[in-house]
Formats: sequence, C-alpha cells, structure tokens
Amino acid sequence: MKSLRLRHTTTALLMVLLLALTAGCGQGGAKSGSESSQSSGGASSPAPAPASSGSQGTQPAAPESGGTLTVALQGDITSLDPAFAYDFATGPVVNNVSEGLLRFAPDGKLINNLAESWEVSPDGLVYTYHLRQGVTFHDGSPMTADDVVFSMERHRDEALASYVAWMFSNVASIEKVDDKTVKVTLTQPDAFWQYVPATSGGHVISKQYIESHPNFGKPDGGTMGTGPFKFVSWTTGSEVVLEANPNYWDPEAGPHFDKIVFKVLPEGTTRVTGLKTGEIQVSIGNIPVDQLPLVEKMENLTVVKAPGAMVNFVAFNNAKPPFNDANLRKAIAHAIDSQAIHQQIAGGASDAPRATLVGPGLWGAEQAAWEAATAKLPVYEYNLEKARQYLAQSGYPNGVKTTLITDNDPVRLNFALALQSAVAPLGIEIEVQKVTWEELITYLLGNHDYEMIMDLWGSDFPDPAGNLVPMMWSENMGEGGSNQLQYSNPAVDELLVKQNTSTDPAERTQLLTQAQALAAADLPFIIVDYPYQIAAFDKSLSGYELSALWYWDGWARDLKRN
Amino acid sequence: MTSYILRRLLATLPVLFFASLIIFGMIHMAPGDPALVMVGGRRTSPEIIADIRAKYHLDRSLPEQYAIWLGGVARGDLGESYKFKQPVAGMLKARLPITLKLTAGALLVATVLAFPIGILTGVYKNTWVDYIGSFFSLLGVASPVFFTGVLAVLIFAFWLGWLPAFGSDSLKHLILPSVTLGLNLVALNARLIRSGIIETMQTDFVRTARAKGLSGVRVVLKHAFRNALLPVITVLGLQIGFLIVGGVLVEYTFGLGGIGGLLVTSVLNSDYPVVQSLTLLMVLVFIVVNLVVDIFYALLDPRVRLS
Repeated sequence: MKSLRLRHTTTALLMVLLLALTAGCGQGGAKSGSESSQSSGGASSPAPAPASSGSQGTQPAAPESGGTLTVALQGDITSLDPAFAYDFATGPVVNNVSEGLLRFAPDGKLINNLAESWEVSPDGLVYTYHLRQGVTFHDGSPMTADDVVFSMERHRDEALASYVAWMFSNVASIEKVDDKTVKVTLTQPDAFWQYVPATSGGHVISKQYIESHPNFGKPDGGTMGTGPFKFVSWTTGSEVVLEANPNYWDPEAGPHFDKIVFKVLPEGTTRVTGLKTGEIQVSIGNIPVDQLPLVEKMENLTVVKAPGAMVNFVAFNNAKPPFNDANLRKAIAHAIDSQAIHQQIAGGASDAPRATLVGPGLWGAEQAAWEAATAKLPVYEYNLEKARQYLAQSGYPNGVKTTLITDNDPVRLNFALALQSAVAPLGIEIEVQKVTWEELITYLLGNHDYEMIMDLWGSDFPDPAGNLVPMMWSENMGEGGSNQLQYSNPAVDELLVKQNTSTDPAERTQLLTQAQALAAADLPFIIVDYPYQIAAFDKSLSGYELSALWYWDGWARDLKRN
Repeated sequence: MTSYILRRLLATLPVLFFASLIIFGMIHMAPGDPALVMVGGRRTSPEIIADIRAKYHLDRSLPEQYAIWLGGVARGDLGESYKFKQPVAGMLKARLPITLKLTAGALLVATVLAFPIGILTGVYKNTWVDYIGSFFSLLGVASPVFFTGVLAVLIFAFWLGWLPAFGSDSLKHLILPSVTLGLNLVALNARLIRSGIIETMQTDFVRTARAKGLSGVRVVLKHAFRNALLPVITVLGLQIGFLIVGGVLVEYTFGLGGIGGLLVTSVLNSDYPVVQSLTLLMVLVFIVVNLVVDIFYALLDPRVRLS
C-alpha cells in the first residue's frame, strides 16, 4: 500500500514535468476553443457565467436567453427514435425533442400535454384523446391526428422491434376519429394503458418526416418532434446538441436555454470533476453512489434526491433447487443484517429494504394505504439463531453451494460480498460471478438459467404494479419474460390479473397490497434497497422538480437560470 | 519501389482474409445473444426475437453468416450495428478523427519526451543523469493508463483546474489524454534510443568525426542520432497500432468518442458487425503501418534496398 502511494505522488510529479514540457503545443491551439477557457477557473470554481451563451449562430426568439447548458450522459444514446429511447441516457435526450400526449406530474399524476383532454369509457376499453390545436413540429408543419395514430402504430409493428412494444400488448386498434380526436381501443381493460401516452410510447413524431427519412432516428436522419428543443447534431460516442424551439406551444413553460450540449462521459470520476469545474452543469441519475458524499460537499451545486421507482434485489430462482425451498431462502434472509449493510453501502442514496419489491417512491397517491400495508409485512431481521432453525428445517441442513450472478455496480457488488460472508457460518457457500450489465440482462431476461441473480428493476409507471406484475406474474416466466424470480403463486397471479382489469385506484391498491403480503410470506427475494433518483444542478439553475419517473420527463423545458 | 509497394499491398489480401476468418470465429464463440441485446433487454415476444434473427441472418448457419458478412465487406458494406441500427461504416467514419487525434498526440508525447531522455541517458550513461532519466521513464511504463488517466483528471482538472477534464474540442482538451496514453511508450522508446546512442557512439565514424574536431553536440545530433533512429522508427510504427488499441481506456476516462470506446461498447453488446469491422480495421492499420515503416527504413538507411 505504501509503495503504491509513493507511485501516486511520483507520477504526479512526473506529470507536472511533462506538462511543463508539452504546454507549448497546447496553448497555441486553445484559443480556437473559447468555451474551454471558463473551465480553468481554479479550485474555487465559480458558477459558470453564461460565457458560452449563443453568440454563435442564430439567436432564437426564446422568452429569455439562458445560454448553453452542458449535461453529462453516462453513455451514448441509442437512437433519436422514441421507440428506442428506453434507457437513462437516451430518454433524457429524446424526451426534450419529442413529447407524449400526456406527461407525469412530479407526484406521478397524469397531466395533459399534446392531448388537451382525454377520457376513458365506463367499460375501460376505449380511451379517447382530444388533441391540442395549434401545435407545430420543429419544421413548422402542424401536428395532426394522423401523426398521432402513425406514431403510436409504429410500436405495434413487429419489424420495428420497438423497445416499448410490450406496452401495446392489449391494444386492439388506434384510430383517428376526426382531425382533433384519436381513439385507442383495448382488447381487455388494462390499468397500465393510462400511463403509456406519457411515456415514449406516446411521443408524437411527424409522419411525413419519418416517411421521407429512411434513416430516421440515426445521426444523419435526425428526428422531428414538437418538444421545447430541436435536434441539431449527434456525434456518436461524443455529444448530442439540441437548440431551443422558439415556437414551442407552451412558451410560459420553456425553453429557457439557447442550446443544450449532452456530453458522453462513461467514467464517473470525469463526470464528477466536470461538475466541480463547471464544465458540466447538470447530471441526473448518473452520479456514482460512492462519490455522492463528495458531490454533496461541492458549494457550486444543488444536489436533489427523490425516492425512486426502482429496487435493487437478489432474485432467487424459485422454480428450481435449491431455492425452491422457502426455508433455505428464509435462512439466508435471517443470516444477513440487511439494514446495517444498507446503511453502510448506500445510506444516503436509497430507502432501507423491506420484504417487498415496492419501495416508498412508488406509493404515489395511495401512499397512506401502501404505507400501512407495508408496515404489516413480516420482517426478516438479522438473527443467526432463526437462520439456523430455518436451515435445519430446509432440505439442506448442512448448507449448500451456489452461485450469485451480478454486475460491478458498487452497491450490488458490496451487497454480494456482504451476503457471501454473512451466510458462511450456515455452511452456505456463495460464489459471486461478476458479469457486465449487458450480460446480466441476457441472464435475467433470457432463459433464466441461474440460481441467484442480483439486479435492478424499475417500474416504468407511477404504479406499484409496474414492479409486481413483471416480476411475480407467472405468465412472465418464459424466455424473454421479466419474471426473474421465476416465481409462480396462483393466488398472487389471480390478484395481479384482477387488479389490472380494474380502474379503481383504491380497489387496485387493495389487491396489490394483498399480493405483496403473499409474496413477503414466500420471500422469493432478498431486497437490497430502493435507490433514490439523484441529480446535481449548478447552483444557478432551478425550476425542475426531480421525481421518481424523471426518465420520461422533458426535464430541460422547466429548467432555468435563477 | 512502386512494384514493391504494389506487391506488398496484394500480399495483404490473404492476410486480411485469414484475419477475418479468425475474427468472425472468435466473436461468434463468445457468449451473449445479440437478438436479446437488440430488443433492448426488454420484455418481448418470441415472434419479435425470431423476426430479428431473420432480419440479421442470425438464424442461418455460421458459414452462411460469414459468407454474407464477407460479401458485404468486399463491397464496402460493413453492415449495420445491432444496437444503434446505423451503418457501421458511418459510425467508424464519425469516430476515426478523434482516435487519430489521440494517437497522434500520444505519439508526439512518446517521441518528444523519449528523444531527450534517450539521448541524455545514452550520452551520459551510468551517471546520475542516466539513473534519473531511466527512473522516470520506467515509472511511466509501470503505470497503467486507467490509473494515470483518473489521476491526471483528479490533479489537473479537479484540484488544480488547469485543464479540461474531458472532450476533444481543442488542443488543450487533448493534452491530458495524450500524455496519459503516450507516457507508457516513453520508457520503451527512451531505452531504445539510449542503447542506439551508446552503440553508435562507440563506432569508428563517430570517433573519426570527433577526431575531425566536431563538437560533442554536433556529433550526437548529426551522426549518432540518425543511426539510433532506425530501430525507433520500426517500433514507432508498431506503436501506432498499440496506441489505437490502448486508447480504449483513455477514451473512456476522458469522454472521447473514438473507435476504442466503440469497440468496448460493442463487445459488451454482442454487436457483431461493429466488432468484426473494427478488428479488421485494426489489422489493416497494422499492415499498412508496417509497409510505411519498411519504406521509411529504405529512405533512412541506404543499405536497405526494396526489391
């Protein structure tokens, strides 16, 4: 360790020397990049003056000129096409360019957006959307009912393989009623459908544009939405540039910036450094948990946290030995001090675990009922005595050898290691197999060939069912299905199916909390935590309220300089 | 000379062919299902997966898939990325400039630093100058780039605030990444130059030059240096290939969207067309650089004749 530290300092010295030598070749060219000069402001790092504001190019007639906003992305975007805007890098870009018929309020309620109003038939089968008039695409052409029908129908086209195609599985037809009205008919009542128009599944793109641009959504094909920002350029692997839409239909809401530059910065330390120097002014959902304390201390930033819709958890494969044995699962649950470990590895960054896939961030409007129901759930406290009793009753009284698959996320990996040592006294030997996130996905959504897997799942809707149905409904057990617990309980199935055909919130909460209680008794999982959504904004920025489902938000619309 | 170059170029074709065979075989042996990646790792139906397999010929036998791919490459069609659904050729074109800039910067660092260190340590061999120079150059080679990179960001961007932490907009942005990447090669090159200098300083013609009354500096720079250059040219050529591959982690750290970063992402995503094309491109770079080195060699050393 000591020698390693010595190497740190000497390398640093060497770098100073090298820089002195190479400074000459750097300085000359630096003048061309005027934007970079503000970043070298030194350690005190003042809030970035709008030095880089849009003196270059045409000045849009936005309500106010906030200059350029630089935003960190943790990876490149997949596409500009809403059909593929389904990850935490792509969504936050695309949602500012194209918008849905509805949007989510910070508390998860649905509010009107490109639809001025909407209603659902009493049988819950027909949803009618009345379109806002006078909305134009970025090329000036008006948004019509045909565009809406076309944009939504695309997701149902199997050849497109839209990432959100599953949202449309109960849709019978999408029709234009008249120029101002679109009607969606379902094959059966579906409680999830109400949310779809607020997701990228409800984004409206110009039909004419898609039909005339075969490379739509790609860097050279661009996109054509109605959002507060227009697409300018996408340099793959480096950056995406948007500029203000001066004709945005809701000028009171935004946009407040001339330009947004999204920088692709996969290395967490680099993003955090950018935040400190002011090179980065916004970082949402991608601050490394282990560097959060450092970021919270930076005086030039406002750090915001919101309870999330996500859950980190260990999924037992409940369909096959050894974890089809409830006593073995409970023995493990009692052997690990989940509460203390949560405090240690993610204390200020998530809610503490309970025996449910539904965290507080998902309770929404039904908060009181959910809170009461969750308080009644069994607690599998840390108690080695109980753990030994359960193990003795299980089919594996002398312990078992098993494998836990997870990725290298710091929270999950730390929990895996803690679990490994916690169950060792029981004679349970866990081999931790570390894979990449992409490989992890092929396991948990592939053929489910594992004994234990630890991953992250987040509901796409402000609805606890978004966590319960995908992971606990037995219909989702097959290849490509999302039941990574391989959990099958006919009583739970019945409750989940029944709630989905209901549109009464209180009734649905009642059914879902029953399902939650049944699952807690079976304990098909070990919950790690419910991560917060965390964002850091430069102190000069305000106006956007972070929420659990921010990844569907056209968040840059509301953001402005103080 | 021209016929030599032509023959060498023709000889690259079988090399490329075999390389393509190996590359194709290896990536298809790796685990991971591209069809699952293509549906975005999301809930989906078996029909959609079957559709995707058919669209990208993943339902065909491996030899058939290879033939389809090779046929495309021969026609200049590198295929379409599974994940980004963009033509691979366009993605390479967009990212190549950054990788070239980074490679050039690193090469510059590697040579600019290696020559003074190498010459000084060679001329003053076994003195304190030699020991200090060798110490620092070895330190450079002993530090892995992901470590040096993060350290450089922390020191020069986070604490001192002298240089930008990421990006490639200006030369200033490229200083940290270039130094990080080039540092590894400084030691190797300096050692080569050092031994070259030591060797030539002992030759008869240097003694003659000295005897003529030429100053020490002139002897070193005009005579010894030129001869010490030959092995360095060879190694530098090979290093270009090394830098393109080694740049992967540097690109990652400094947020540079070059082909290295693309290669990593694509391997993770089982994005076969991109990985295959990139690897083939790197093979091609190695071949071309080797050829260029051979030609340079002939120009620098009259004893070498290309025939």
